[in-house]
Amino acid sequence: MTLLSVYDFAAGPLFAIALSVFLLGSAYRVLRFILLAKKADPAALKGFRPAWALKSILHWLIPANITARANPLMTVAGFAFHLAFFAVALLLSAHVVLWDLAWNVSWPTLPDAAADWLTYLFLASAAFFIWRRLALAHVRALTTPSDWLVLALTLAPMLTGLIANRQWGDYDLFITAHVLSANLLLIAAPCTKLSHVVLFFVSRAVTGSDFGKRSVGAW
Amino acid sequence: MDLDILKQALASRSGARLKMWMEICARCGLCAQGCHFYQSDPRPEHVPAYRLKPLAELMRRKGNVDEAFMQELVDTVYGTCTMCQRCTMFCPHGISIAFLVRATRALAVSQGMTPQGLASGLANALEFGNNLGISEEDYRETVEWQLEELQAEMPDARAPMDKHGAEVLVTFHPRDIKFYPQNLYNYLKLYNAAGLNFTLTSSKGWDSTNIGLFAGDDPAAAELAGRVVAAGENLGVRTILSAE
Repeated sequence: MTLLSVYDFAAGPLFAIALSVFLLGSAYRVLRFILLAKKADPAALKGFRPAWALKSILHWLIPANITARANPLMTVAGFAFHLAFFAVALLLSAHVVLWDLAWNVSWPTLPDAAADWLTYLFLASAAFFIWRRLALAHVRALTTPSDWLVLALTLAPMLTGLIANRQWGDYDLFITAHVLSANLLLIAAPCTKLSHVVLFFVSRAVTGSDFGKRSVGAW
Repeated sequence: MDLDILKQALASRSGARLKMWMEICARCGLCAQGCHFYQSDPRPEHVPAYRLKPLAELMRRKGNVDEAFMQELVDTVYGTCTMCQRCTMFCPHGISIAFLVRATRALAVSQGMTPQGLASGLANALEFGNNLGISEEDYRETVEWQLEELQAEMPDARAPMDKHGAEVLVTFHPRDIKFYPQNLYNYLKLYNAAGLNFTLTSSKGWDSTNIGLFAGDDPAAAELAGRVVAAGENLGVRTILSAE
């Protein structure tokens, strides 16, 4: 089996599987919460207040909350990390071309130079997270091996993607590693703490409703 | 230690919120900013998310833990948290750590490991209707005594006991009856000055602090809350004023 055939498999059928696992798995996480709440935790649903839930989500989707004021550096790193990741994953021209080739769909793309800078920003934020976990005693004490694993999972596709894109090393090797690691991330997301990609909204809705019920502000 | 009961307690507590929050905690440590334990003594063990460690480990081992483990769990979830919920305000995911601490306390309760001070307060609350074990007679006398004192300053002051049809049922923290009657004096002065149509209750519902809730003992918590509700319903009040 040559590297190229591995790439073809990873970017074709494996990606279709990984994306399905991600989408269905994420939907299942939300559905599981609702079913489990109906069965064993009715208070979680009974207190639902849509307006408060929405307010709580919005105040944390934009940095309009108490933590943003108390931890500006972590907030900048957190937003840079997430925004850069999604911008590059969804808007990189090389990615959109693949969608166009496979499904004949297309959308606006980022200039390649901007995508490079966003990737550097992402890597700098990740470096900051790593530094925090190592240097701050209270974060170090909380850190588990799975935290390092999950960080490595998110870091791998960005790093290999950059190396491949800039052709710094063996292109075939790094582009294959890039696609494989991206698939791995998609598959891991619904069954690790990365499930916060959807459960963030559920959790904030629950807590926003709870805070709203007590009229203390939903954020 | 009864592992079967512990596993049952764990299963009955593992609802939608517990499972979600135990999984999405990113262990970022931002909750430290909100914690008065951490702010006054910044040890890693005082970071709110640290209090989830015993529960996470217990879930990982599916409840197969020993007494030494449970003792450490008790020290962590009773000894380093007042369940004030302030950390939740700082958590980007909005995780209710107090909710998870209370669930963990319930596991200790299932093994009869409620800390001594809380356990005796809870036994008092269930037996006497308040966690300091004040008798009904002492309670009534304290109210009458403070009312007399107040009437020297405010001759028309009243402290109606079991008045049907009052609008508000006033309840107390037993501390205010036993140790700080001056507080009781001030409450009565305030409510009289405000012209509030209020009543006290001589039933066991006069203490609205819920030490069962705090201890993580659900049946006890339901019993104590039920007494306050019953007192309010029997007197037909519209509002129950809860103690601080």
